[in-house]
Amino acid sequence: MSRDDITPKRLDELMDGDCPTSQAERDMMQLAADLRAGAPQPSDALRSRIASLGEPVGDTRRIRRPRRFALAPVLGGAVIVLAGAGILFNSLNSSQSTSPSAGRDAATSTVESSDPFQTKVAPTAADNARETAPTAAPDRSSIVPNATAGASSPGPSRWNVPSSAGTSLIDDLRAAARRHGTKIAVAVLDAASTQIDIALPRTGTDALIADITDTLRAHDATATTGPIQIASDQATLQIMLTMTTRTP
Amino acid sequence: MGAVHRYLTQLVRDSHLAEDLTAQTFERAFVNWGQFNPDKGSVLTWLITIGRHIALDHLRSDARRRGRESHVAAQTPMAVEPPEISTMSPQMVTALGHLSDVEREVVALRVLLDVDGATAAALIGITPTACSTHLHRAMTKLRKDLGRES
Repeated sequence: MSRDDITPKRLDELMDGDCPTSQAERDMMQLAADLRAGAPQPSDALRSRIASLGEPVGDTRRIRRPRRFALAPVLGGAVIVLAGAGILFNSLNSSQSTSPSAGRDAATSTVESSDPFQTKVAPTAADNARETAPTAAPDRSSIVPNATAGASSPGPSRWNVPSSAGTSLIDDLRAAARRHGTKIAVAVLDAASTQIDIALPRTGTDALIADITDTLRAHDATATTGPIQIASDQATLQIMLTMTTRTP
Repeated sequence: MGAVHRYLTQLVRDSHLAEDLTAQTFERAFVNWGQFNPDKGSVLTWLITIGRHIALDHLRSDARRRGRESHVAAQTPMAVEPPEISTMSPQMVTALGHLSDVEREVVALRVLLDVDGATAAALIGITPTACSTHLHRAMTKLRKDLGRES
């Protein structure tokens, strides 16, 4: 590199306004000045043509603002949908968390189908969670419909059933449900445990529960969790039957 | 307006065409004024961007047209007019003609329009380092062609 060479970086500095410090730099700046001086100027025709355009169309601020917030309604809608889904999921989750079947999800998942109200035979997985379920229901009449209106769904109603009741109890429960325009789903959890889900109708719930209770008692079943309770917004009544060998 | 015109003149190397492109640039800018975002750059940078797109579109379509007419041109030789670079000396015009397109564009942006290096690089679509290199190479070529070497 000779003494008058200018590096690219130094040339950038000169173009950005730095003062030349050598003859080579001064020559370079003179060349730049000559280039600027010889640059063409727009003709009068071009000036008048552009001047005839008038004022720019639109306002940058007014138009830019909606662009910046264009996604706000979409994002807001998405937040609402997600919040709704979260509430729904939480509601479903809370109703299931009070059920002893929560600890049995893995065991019963194989029997779930698109029509849950069909008799299903589950694997004989142990149901230890069921045995430790809370039994805090008050000991009063077993027919207390809508007793916990507005609250989360109560737990399943647990009944001890003589093993001699067998399938006749299931048939009678199914017939009782059919009389009230609904149906039941039966899941045999193991040799001693059967879960029955009854779809609650919109009306006539009291009569249905009374009928179910009478049917259970007709087969010498005894409630271990007190009377059947349902919440006003409850859609399914869950009954857990435990087969016992002792005579009631 | 003058800056856009100077830039486009160097880009297309035709003063008449540069005037048309400059007018088109301002027409498009006026129509799309609402899209200008001062947070992203100056008005000049925005205008240069529009003008560059218009010029490159024109050059591409012109190249296609020339391709279609190449056989006619071969059969009918026409006198090619030298590019008009306005008031520049013939030596300067010749020297600028020896530059590559990108070198000439860098000179237009950095020297004629005083655009900073980062902005010029962004406008052309090259790195600032490449922009510096092109500028240095272009100015060195011009000094040599014009006999201004020390």
